[in-house]
Amino acid sequence: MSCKKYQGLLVAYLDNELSGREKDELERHLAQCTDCRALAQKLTRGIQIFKTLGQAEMTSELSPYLPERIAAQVMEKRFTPRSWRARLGLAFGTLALLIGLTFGYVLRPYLAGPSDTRDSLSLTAIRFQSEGIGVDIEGDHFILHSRDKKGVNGIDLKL
Amino acid sequence: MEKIPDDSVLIEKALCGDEDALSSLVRRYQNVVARLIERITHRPEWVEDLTQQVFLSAFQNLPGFQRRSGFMTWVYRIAVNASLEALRKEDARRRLFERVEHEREFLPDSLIIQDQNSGERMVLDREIQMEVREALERLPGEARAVLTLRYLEEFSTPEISEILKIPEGTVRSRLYYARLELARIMEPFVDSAIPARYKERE
Repeated sequence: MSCKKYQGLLVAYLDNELSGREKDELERHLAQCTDCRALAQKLTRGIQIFKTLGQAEMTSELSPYLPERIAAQVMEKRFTPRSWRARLGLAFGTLALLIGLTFGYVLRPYLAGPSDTRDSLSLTAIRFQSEGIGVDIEGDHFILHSRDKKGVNGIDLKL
Repeated sequence: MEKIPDDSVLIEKALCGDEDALSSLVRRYQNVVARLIERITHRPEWVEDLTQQVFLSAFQNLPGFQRRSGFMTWVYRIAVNASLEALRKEDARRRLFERVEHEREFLPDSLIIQDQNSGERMVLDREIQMEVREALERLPGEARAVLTLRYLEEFSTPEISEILKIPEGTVRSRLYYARLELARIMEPFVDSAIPARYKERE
């Protein structure tokens, strides 16, 4: 193994986390490599000061009411499964209503009742004609065909 | 004697909207969370707010909590992230130059440091302790977090890997670079400056 590989194991070694073959190999390497020994020595620098200062007593104090305060806040913000369902239902309901209204508006000409069927058919005919499709209304038949009226490709719709 | 319910029982109750279960979970872990936050941020004045933030976040996400790791590990992860986020938001200049005056009052007159390898003892008076603390402020947040989890909270590499949700190799690598950085920062205190600045206590 190269020095770089051993250096990656140094912290684990210093923290007594290495064992077996890895530990034996690293110790053999340290015995003969002055650079890695120096690095191991360097890595120990300051750690004891860090531990000692870090383990000093805490200077902050928590309010004795903190647990109850947090619990109350959670309860206030919480959506129970039931209210989630209610909100979801409301959202879907609104969405369905909007979709219904939109389709109703778009399909209004096609969905007109018997009393104004004739007017609706005329309106529809004008729309198809503006798209380059010929329309003939014969009684309760609604015939779509190409403009040249060859008739072979015509579609006969019975109302 | 009434049996103390374990975390999973309290979590189930909390999910059903039991307010007492929520406060019991906070009471059980608030001190370890607060201690971790103070150790990472070195900001005692942030501790209560951040502790509250950690538990609120944990409880709001409780329905999605994966039971693969323990509740404590999960709360630790949230606490580390909240601490690092708070440090990131803080004005770096303010952090370096604003001295928290009340911290000085809590420092002991002298602190004995004993080197584990050489057994050598050093005594840090209050002034030196302040200087060392200020120097430690220069450690990047992530380095401080990983050093805190390992050397103050005494977690193993696999445990830190679980808390931070990173591979064990990354934990080792972060520890290596954190210790190199710590060594660089502490150099003035532990090398040639030591004999002049630290008094040996008999």
